[in-house]
Amino acid sequence: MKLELHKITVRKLRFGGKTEFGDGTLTVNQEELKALLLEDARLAGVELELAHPGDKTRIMPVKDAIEPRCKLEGAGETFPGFIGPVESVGEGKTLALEGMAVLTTGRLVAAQEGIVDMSGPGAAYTPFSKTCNLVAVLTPRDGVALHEAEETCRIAGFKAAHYLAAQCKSAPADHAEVYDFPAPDKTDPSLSALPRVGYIYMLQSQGLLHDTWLYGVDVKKTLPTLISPTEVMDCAIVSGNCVSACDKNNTYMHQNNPIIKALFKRHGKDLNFVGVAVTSENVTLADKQRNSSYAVKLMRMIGAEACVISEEGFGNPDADLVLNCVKAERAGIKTVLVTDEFAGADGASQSLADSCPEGTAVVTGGNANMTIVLPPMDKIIGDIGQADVIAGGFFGSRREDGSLEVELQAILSATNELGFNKLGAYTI
Amino acid sequence: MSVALFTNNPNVLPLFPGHSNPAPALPGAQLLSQVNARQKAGEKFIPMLFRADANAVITAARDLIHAEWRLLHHPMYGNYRPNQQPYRSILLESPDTGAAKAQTPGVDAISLHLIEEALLIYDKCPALPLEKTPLSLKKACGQLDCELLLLPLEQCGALHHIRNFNPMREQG
Repeated sequence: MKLELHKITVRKLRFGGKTEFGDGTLTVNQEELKALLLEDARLAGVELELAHPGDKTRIMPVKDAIEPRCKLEGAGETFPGFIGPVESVGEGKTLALEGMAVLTTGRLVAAQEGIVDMSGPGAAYTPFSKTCNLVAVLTPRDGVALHEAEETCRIAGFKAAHYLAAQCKSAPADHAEVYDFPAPDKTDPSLSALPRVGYIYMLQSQGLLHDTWLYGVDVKKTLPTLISPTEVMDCAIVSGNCVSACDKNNTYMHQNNPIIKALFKRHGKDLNFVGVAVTSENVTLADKQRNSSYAVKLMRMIGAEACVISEEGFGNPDADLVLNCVKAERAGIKTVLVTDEFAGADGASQSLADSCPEGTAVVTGGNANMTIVLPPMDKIIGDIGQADVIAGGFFGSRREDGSLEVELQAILSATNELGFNKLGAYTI
Repeated sequence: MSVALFTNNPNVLPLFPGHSNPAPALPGAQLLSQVNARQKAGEKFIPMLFRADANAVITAARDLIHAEWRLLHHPMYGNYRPNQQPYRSILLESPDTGAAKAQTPGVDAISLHLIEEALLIYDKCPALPLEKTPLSLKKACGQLDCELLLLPLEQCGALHHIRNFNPMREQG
């Protein structure tokens, strides 16, 4: 499957009379976009705000982040099952508005979160301090059930992202990236000398506010399956995970999965990237046993000699990570695990809820229990009152001067388990 | 075959058969006697309501695992740390179930491992006490606890008693 990602680089956002792109600036017709989102009668209100890198602005609680993408050529449409039909995607040409994100915010329940500071010490911990952000503040109508409110807010983000990209189809791309993932019988024979490396891509799937969708299907209800990395780039996987800001994979991260990008970059050089299997993190022990065996079987079927395994979340999914690792290693497939840690404020506690001696190669996104004081900001988009109840916040975390003392757990993508961070470290 | 629900979240009870007769959980060895007595009486679903913090629920689950019951799901479900979620609900199946019969008899090593790891986490990060949880947060946490239990409840057959099941309607 071959996909061309045509990228337009957005350097600034502004509101104006017509949604269009020119000279690095995306102009957004607020009223048109609001009207589109308010077609969903379950929404009582939509407000749109802009936030640029360096602004003294805090956005919270953030539900999802999405990169605007739409199809230019090829079957289906981006966000299949939500915007597009359920036709398979991942081929042809797709337009992406790089350098910007749609962030959705608004109150669902008291305990879901995500802080993005566009400047100050907190900005270093979130990649979304570096993007130009269009923030949709969503208010579900009173009386709408929680499931529907979550669905409404989730889909509103996809609609906004797709609308923005679709309005820019006629603008010339700044550059195009080509991703070619051929069928096994079309693979270059010269790759046979390189180690065959696969990727087990774990997706959050526990229940409301902890879900992921694959082609519009709730991942809790799926068995592990092979997927082309180009389908992931076409938004086949979207997030409904609102909880634990530091390590949830929002939709933007699925679209721009850095593990997939790195495997593509090294394909044909020092490894042969042979495939991706997505798998769930269901809470029941029967599902964990079934799905870990199945995911490893898929790696064996594609002849993987090694695989990267990325986790999403903590606690419950640590068991899935361990099962995937143990079963792969015992099948002769070398593993590298990508996770994060909850090692206590001092970093001295056990990092994961589970472990195994086979897990000898582990990359960590950081310690989510580390605390940070975020200074007051001039502008708050969303609801600062949530700081006391957000996962990672705790009672008293909002100080009188407006500053926040929170764990990194509360900052969007601070310890992301796909490696989607701006900070890194290595052992010397 | 019996399924026990240990919970300190009253919102979960309507989702579980026999919820009209939840027993207040007694401490220690008395709890095991309670559960055994109800199982011997032929009760398929045994709800036990704890008027206590989450630590007590997990400790009691460990005691039942020592008596060869098995976990149906991971005890650390939900992306909340113990200090962020006052509720905890654990489903366990009795040693005489079809699935458990097929396994090696005795204490289930996986269940024991997971519950001991959970207790370590609760030891280092104490549970949010119910009496210190604001009402709005309590309500939200209670709802989410129910939601995250739906899959294991469905898989053990506990939801079949609810016709036209709607978790939000059940919770009011």
